[in-house]
Formats: sequence, structure tokens, C-alpha cells
Amino acid sequence: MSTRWYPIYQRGNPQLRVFLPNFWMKLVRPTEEQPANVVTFAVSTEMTKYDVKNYLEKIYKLPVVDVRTRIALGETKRDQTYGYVTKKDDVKYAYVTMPKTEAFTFPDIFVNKAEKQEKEEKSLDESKAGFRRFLDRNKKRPGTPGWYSI
Amino acid sequence: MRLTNKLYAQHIGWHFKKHWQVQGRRVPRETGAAAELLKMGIQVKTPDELLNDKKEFRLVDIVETVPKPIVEDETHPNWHTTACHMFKDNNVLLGGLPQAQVLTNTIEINSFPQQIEDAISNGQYSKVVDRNVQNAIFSSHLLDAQQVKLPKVKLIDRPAYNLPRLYGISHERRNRLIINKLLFEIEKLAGRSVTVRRKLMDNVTFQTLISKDNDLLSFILSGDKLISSSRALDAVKGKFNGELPDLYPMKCVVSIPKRHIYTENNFYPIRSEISCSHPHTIVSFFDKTIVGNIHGSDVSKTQFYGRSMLKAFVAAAARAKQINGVTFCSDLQKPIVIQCVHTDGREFHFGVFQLNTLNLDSNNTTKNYWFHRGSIEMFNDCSYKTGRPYIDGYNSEPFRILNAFYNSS
Amino acid sequence: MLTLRRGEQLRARLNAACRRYLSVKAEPKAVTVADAEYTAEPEYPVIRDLSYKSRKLQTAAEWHEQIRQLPTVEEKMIKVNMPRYYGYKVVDLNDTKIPYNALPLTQHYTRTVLEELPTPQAKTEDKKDDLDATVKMARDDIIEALEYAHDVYKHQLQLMATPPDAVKREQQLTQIIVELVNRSALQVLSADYGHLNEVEIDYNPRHEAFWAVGGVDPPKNVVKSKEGRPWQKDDAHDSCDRLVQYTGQPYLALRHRHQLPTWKSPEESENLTLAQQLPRFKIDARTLGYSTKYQHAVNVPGYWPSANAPNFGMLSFQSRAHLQLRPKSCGERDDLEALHALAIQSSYAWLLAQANYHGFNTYNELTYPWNTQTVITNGREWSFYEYQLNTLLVHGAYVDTNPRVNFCRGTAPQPLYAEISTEGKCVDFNDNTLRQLLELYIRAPSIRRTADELLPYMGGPALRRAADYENAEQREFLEHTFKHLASKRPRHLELPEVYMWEKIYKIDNKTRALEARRRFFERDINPWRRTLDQHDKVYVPKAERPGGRKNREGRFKKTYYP
Repeated sequence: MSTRWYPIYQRGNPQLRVFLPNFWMKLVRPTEEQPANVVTFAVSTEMTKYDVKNYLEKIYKLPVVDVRTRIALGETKRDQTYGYVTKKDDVKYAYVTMPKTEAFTFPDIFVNKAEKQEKEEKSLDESKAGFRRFLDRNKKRPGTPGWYSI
Repeated sequence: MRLTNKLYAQHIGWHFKKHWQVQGRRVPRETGAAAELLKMGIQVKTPDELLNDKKEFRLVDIVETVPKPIVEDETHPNWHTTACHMFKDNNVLLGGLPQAQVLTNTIEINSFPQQIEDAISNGQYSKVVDRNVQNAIFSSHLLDAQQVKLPKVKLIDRPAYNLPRLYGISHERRNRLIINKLLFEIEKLAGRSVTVRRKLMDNVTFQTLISKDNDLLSFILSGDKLISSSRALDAVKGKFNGELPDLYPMKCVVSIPKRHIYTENNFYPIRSEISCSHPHTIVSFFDKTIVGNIHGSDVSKTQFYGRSMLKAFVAAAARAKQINGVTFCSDLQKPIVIQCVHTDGREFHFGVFQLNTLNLDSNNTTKNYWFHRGSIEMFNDCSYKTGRPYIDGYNSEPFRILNAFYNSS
Repeated sequence: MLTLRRGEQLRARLNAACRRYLSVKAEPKAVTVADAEYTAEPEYPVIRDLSYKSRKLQTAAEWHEQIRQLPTVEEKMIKVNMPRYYGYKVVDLNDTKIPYNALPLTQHYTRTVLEELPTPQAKTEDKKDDLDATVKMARDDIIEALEYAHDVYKHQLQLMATPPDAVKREQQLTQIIVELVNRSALQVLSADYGHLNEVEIDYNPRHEAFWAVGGVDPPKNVVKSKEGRPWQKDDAHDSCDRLVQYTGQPYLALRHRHQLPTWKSPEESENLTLAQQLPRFKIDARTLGYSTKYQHAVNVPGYWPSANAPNFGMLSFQSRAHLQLRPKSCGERDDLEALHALAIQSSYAWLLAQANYHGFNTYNELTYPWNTQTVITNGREWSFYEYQLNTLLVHGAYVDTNPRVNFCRGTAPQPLYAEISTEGKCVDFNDNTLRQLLELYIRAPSIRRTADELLPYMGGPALRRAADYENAEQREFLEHTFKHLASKRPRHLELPEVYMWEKIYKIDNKTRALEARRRFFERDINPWRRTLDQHDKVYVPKAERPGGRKNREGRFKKTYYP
């Protein structure tokens, strides 16, 4: 739950609260294709394989067979204003193997993006067409306000 | 100068600063109150005890800490006041076979016992057997596929020249393979009646502690292969006389290092309750990168022979002490006979040791017997010459002797 | 004027040329045509598909044909390694690591159909009464051997100051047990079964094999490089070959001169529908837990090539000590499958290595099937497997088109005894397991083939191994190079390296515009594409030159790369 050392819990002890733990896990889409029973997490660099396994088993009740981790070097970028080279922070990825019977694929979050964009563009196109019709109606008197009729 | 008001006036801030230093140096005066209270029987505690409590630190058992090395002095659990001469696998006696004889109260006989000599001369071997033995030599020395870095080969006349490092079969694997294959051939010839009474074991250790003439000797030797049988070997028939060689001015324990830290136990690798526990033959390997004189020079032939005899002696002594008790050190009712093969893959030295007594003092008349012949080479040279496997000077004698040894009972 | 002007010079030359042709034409020449050049039906050469992909396949096929044409074992092995001086990037298959869910990958990589046999419970009365007698005779021997082994090992463990870890303990104990059991079995059976007298025993041999597997998704760097080239953009996600190297060290291996009998007929082996039902593991093996390494292709079945060695494997005892280190959360079913995967990969690799010594390799197909038997044991639990190798072609398009399939059938682990009691007595000895073990020994290698049938891709009866060459220099060179490749020694000079600062400041962010481009990655050189023969030749000092001090042609030692 955290890299801090807390008193070991024995039955009867008060249930101490853990504040601001530095263990976190983030579900990410894997960069290389993984088998169906392997899930990829970005994980705090201070977590070990046993920490990841316990995290998933105790908190989320997921069956975990095996965990493999690797630390990915943060990428280097040029700073936009001054041009020097900076490095982003390192990230640890954990590849969690679940039993063969389980399968997981990373969900496609932006599946409706094209539709939404189309809808927006359609409304914009419609309003543009309406304005063109208005200009066409008033082409003999350009620049006059719209409430002029006939 | 005159102490005026102005001069007399003090800087209160500096006073405070100085006071902090002054009061730290102040020593409280003895008032006698503590003594009176103690007389009355009331416990008196100093502030020091209450404030700076003496904490007892126990060593916490954390995984992966480096264990503290045990200091090798009187506090070591195995320390003894009397020093003991320790002989291990990597050491060779300086005086060679004569020194080993004096050490173990043995006389040397330059031939094998009669029944073994008969078995060697009467043995009939077909060509198939010879061919199989040659194939065994090829497959263990040349055709096995292990490739490890071999020890550096140095030319004597060009000591600074670095020859290219060779990769090949390691020494101990080569020896292990040749012995295994030769024993396989022998067991095929011998048949089930003999082989069911024998058991083979690899990498055994013998440990024993013997006293001789006010010296303690501790032997920890390993046998690379032990053939144990269900019945002990019979004692060699016949009386043998001989004299122990005179080592003057050398003492018989020279070149065996002395240590004060040793254990006094006796170790024979097989428990006596098991059926096939009698030692029959012990095979040991000689690797000149491991075995050498403590002063560094090469091992001579007589030192080689002395080593094989000592191995046989230690195996027999460990067995004798296992049967008769750890503190046993007198004549044996039933002599223990052990055969010994000492080889470096090419040279074979065969010997039979009969242990008649464990009393190694010089005044004892009973002597142990050591039957052996000079070492024999199985072949002169076996290597890849211009890409073809090649063997030179093949000698079938070692195989026949080994066969006779295996079949003797 | 004797010097002609330019136009006249040209005209004179033209006339001379025409005169030459005209003169040839004018002479009546007796035209003789060989009859063999003409046939009744016109025979057209094969129309080759000239697309880029087909041309690549054609060059690969020509390379495979060149390997097939080489006459000796060592030359074929060296030829496979020729394209890479520093070695291939191979998936590391081991007997120490079998990750979770390894069975589909192993079946895909070895093209094997697995059949799980049920453990034979009750022995039927009608068959094999003679085996019953042998089992009874062997029973006491084996029990004694087991008790002896356990006792001596436990006794010896007392001596060690720090006992070794669990894996090493299991390995040492099982080595002793396997050697003693093998010895007892051979003693009991060799009287009745003569082939056991000609068997060769290898102790902890080195089994290594190299092969190429097709039908695997390309790795990211291959995809990216293909997408960057317009003529390969559409083929970016085509399956490619993956190279695999197996390294194993079984406890014991038995070899014989002749081959074991097959248990699947050729008709059953050629079954395209069965082949297409095999599991396909297209994803990179690293996603399961395997690692990759850079190594030359090594094919060693435990011995070097030799003329009259027993060249066919009969039985091997594999170690399962390292499978203890797998996490307990894998489950029992996966542990069983891991044992099957270990049996399949070790059998396939040993057979492939033996086949390499007979001229076949992963690029040239077998002409007859090969068989072997495997036992996986930890001293107490024994599983028995049989493997039939029918095909070696699992690379490229053969994944979909090769009708031949390999077969493996095996049992679940059965205990030979329940436990060894504290007094050292063997409790609950299982006769069934012993019977199955002895059945493996009894199966006699009976298939004999002529030398031509055995070695179809070699250079004839007089030229099969490097030792058969007449030229001593060539023999020595081939033997030396072959063993150097098999030793997996690192090269003496350092591998070309891109330093970290160069990666940051020259490759990822191009900050050094004015620096001269002298490094290999700036000059568009790929140093890993160096072939095996691109090295400085060995210099022959003048004193040793054949042909004397002044012989310039003998300056460098001749190389005999295939």
C-alpha cells in the first residue's frame, strides 16, 4: 500500500488508516501485442512484483498468476523555448498474467469520436448553408439588417 | 582601570550566552544526602540513569546481511589446545611413498595379491572388448561435447608467452566419463551374478582422526568413485615381511600443515546398516591444478603413489572406526582390504591395501600391507590431429587390471 | 596526307566492321547442331514471379539449396552461421524455465500433436507375462538402489556446512537415483535384450538445437522499418520467422547405432487438417516470459561428429528440478502442461541435433522419420514420453502448407514410491511405473538403413564429415571453426556500441550539427550485418610460409569457409 513501514497488523490491533500512499496503478494499453490473459499497468516505480500482485489480489480480488515488471526510461525532449534537452520521468510497467480462462482487451475509449465529429460538422455545415441562403435572399440589398422583409 | 558605573554595567545578552557554557561545566557539590538515604535503605537514582537509559541492542536477524566471519582463535568452537596435522585432497606428502609408509605403518609389496595376479594373466578378452575400450577412450577424451575454459597451458621455455586459451572437456568430467565407461564395459563382461553384489557411488568423502607417536593426524579425503560390495574382501593369504623405510632426518609428518581448529569425528559415507556398505574399490582422480606440494613444485611419481596409498588407508581406517568405534586404535581381528585406483585420465595406478592395525606407533610390530605395481599409461596421446581423432600407444593392461579388481571378492 | 580527318576515320572503321560481318555472312559455314538441345515438345523455363516478396523467397530458397549441396556436417553448420559474425537473435528455450501457458507456444514452435495417455492402472493378464517376471526381478534391485541413494545422500548432507538450495539438492539426489536405476535396469535386462549391450551412456550431456519457426508476428522494429519503405509498406504485418535455440542438460542419455521403430505410419503423419488444427502462438515469445539472447546457431546432441559413433538417441532422462521455482499460483493443470512442454521441446531439440549430424537441418526436410523416448523425473515422480519427428520444416510458408506433423504421446507423472521412511525403507513401491520404465528399455532399436538412405544430403560414402577431407589444412580449419562456433565464446574485440550521450544528443535529439559524421550509425553502416568471413586473415610469418620466405601468396592462412 505504501513504501512506508507501518506496524504489522495482528488480530486485535486497531485498523490504522493509510494516508497518501505512494503505490498507484494505472491500466494502460500495451505498446506490444500481449496474449489475452495479460494486462498491462503503469505502476509506481517503488512497487515490486509482490506489491503489484498483492494490490490486485487483496483490493480488487483478481486472480493473478505471475507479474513481470520493467522500468521504461523516460523519453528525452527538446525544451521548446530554450532548446536544451530534458528527460521525462521513468515509468515502471507491470505485465500481469491472469489465469488462462480470463481474457482482457484494452477498451477503445475514442470509438465514437468520428460520429461526434461528424455531428458537429453537420450542424456547422447546416448553419453555414442557412447563412448563405440569407445572403442570397438579400443580395439586392447587401448590408441591411435581417428583419427587412420582402 | 577604575571600575565606573559604565564599566561595571554588564551586557545581558552576553551574560546569557556565557551562562549556558558556565552551567554546563558546573559540578554539583556532594551534600551527603545520598549517603544518608542509602543508610536508611532508600534507593537513590542519579538523573543520568533515568535520562540516558542503557539500551541493550540485540542483533536483528535480517535476510541478506553478510554473516560475520568467525574469528579463528581460542574462541572458535572447534579450537583444541593440541595442534593436529590436517591432510586434505590438495596436499601431497613431500617424501612420497616412503613417508606414507612410515606414517601409516605399512610395508610395500611390489606385486598384486596372488588371486588378482592370476585373474589378470588368465583373463581372455576378445577384440570387441578392446574396440569398445578404445571407443570409450575416444568418447570420453575427444568426442564429448562439453566446452569449458581449460587451465592455461604454459610453455616451460617461454614462460611469458600466452598461448591461445583452449576450450574443451574439463578434467574432472573427462576422468568421470572414462571411469564410468570402463566400469560399464567391465560390468557387461562380469554378468549379473557379480554386479548385483556391487554398488557405485560418486563423490564420497572419508574423514578420520588418528594419533601416531604423540601426533594427531586428521585426514579429510574424497573418493571420486566408491565401489561398495555386499561382502567384505577377504584378507590376502600369506605372510609378508618388510622393513619400514628410514626417513632420517625428515619426520614422518613433514609437509602436513598443523591447525588448532579441527573436528574429531569419523565419517564413512555409507551407514553400516545398509547391505552394500563394505568398501571394495575406491577410484580417485588426480588433477595437477588442484593437487600439488604446498611449496608449489610438481608432483613426482613417488608422491603420486603415496597419495593413492593414503586414500586407501583413510577409507579403510574410516570403515574400521565405523565398525569398531571412534576411539579404536589397535590391531584388527579381521583385516580390512581395499583396492585403490588412482588416475589422471591417462596414467593409472592400481593398488591393494590391507589394514591390519590402527595402532600406528613405531613400536608396533603388526604392519599394514600395500600391494601395488608401477603406474601404467593407457595411451600416449589422444587428441585431434589435423581434424581427425587420433590415439597413440594404446595399452590394454589397465583395463585388464581394472577388470580383475572389479571381479575380486 | 596520311592522317585522315575525323569523319573519314569513322567511316573507315564502320567499313571495317561491316566487312567483318559481311565476310562472316558470306562464308558458308557448316552448322552442326547437337540433337540433345532439341526436343519434340518445347520446354519452357519456369516463369518466376518477379515481385519483391517472391524474389526474397527465391534468394532464401537458393540459400537453402546451397546448404543442402554442401557435403559435410560441419560445413552445413558453418554455412547456417555465415550471415552473422556476431550471432543470431534467438529465443532462449531452456529446461530451466517453462513459463505459464507454455504448451501452445511449444506445440506451434515444434509442430507437435500431443496425446496424453492415461496411466495404465491394472495390467491385463494376457499380455507380457515375461515382463512380469523381469519386473519382479528388477523390483528388489531398484528398491535397494533407491534406499541406498537416499541414505548415502542424506548421510553426505550432514557433512556440508551449508546445505545446498532445494533445486541443487533435487538435482544431485536425482542424478544419483537415475544413474543407479539405469545401472540396475541394464543389468537385469541385458541378458535377454542384446541391444542393451551396445548402448552408449552419456552423463549430463549437452543437448542444443537451433531452428527457425514461421507464422509469428513481426517485432515492432521490423514493422516500423517496413512501414518506412514504400515498396514494403503493405507487407508490414506479414508473419515472419523467429529463430529459436534450445539448451538443455539432461541427467542421462542413452544412444544406439540403430533407430527406434516408429509408431505412426507415414499416412497418419501427412495430415494437413490435423496440422491446421495445431495451436498457433503468433505473439512474441517474450510476452510469455521467455528471453532472447544473441548466439550462433549451435546443434549439438551431446557428442562431436564421428564416423562410427552410436548416432541415434534411444532414451533421455530430463531434469525437472527448476520447475520447482515456478510460482505456486500457476495451478496443477499448468504444472502438468509445463512437463508436457518440457518433454516436447527437449525431444524435438535432441532429435533435431541428431538429424543435423546426418545432413538434415531446419531448412532441409527429413527423408525418414526419427524417434526417441524421454523420461522426466525428480527421483520420485516419473513421466514417460515418446516422440516421433516427421518434419523439420516449420519456417516461412511451411507453417500453413506442410502436411507433415510431429507426434508426442506421454503420461502424467506417476510416483515410483510413496516415500522413504525415516528408517530408510521404501514405502509403497509402484510396480506399474517400473513396468513402464522397463518397457522403454526393452523397445529395441531395430530399424537399419543403408548409408545412402541415412545420409542423403552428404557428399557420398567417402565424404561425410570434416575428418574425411584429404586436405589436412581444410580438415583442421573446419574442425576448429565448427568447435569455435559451438563454444559460444564471445569475440575478442568489443561489439560496436552506441553510447548513451550519442543516443541522446545525436540520434534522438539532433543537437550537434557541426560535428563530422564518423560513427557507424551516422555512416549508415549496420555492424551486425557482418558475415562470418569478414575478418582479418591469420598472418603466416615468413619463417613458416610454405614456399619459402619470399612467397607473397602464402602470406595469409587459407580459409575454407563454405
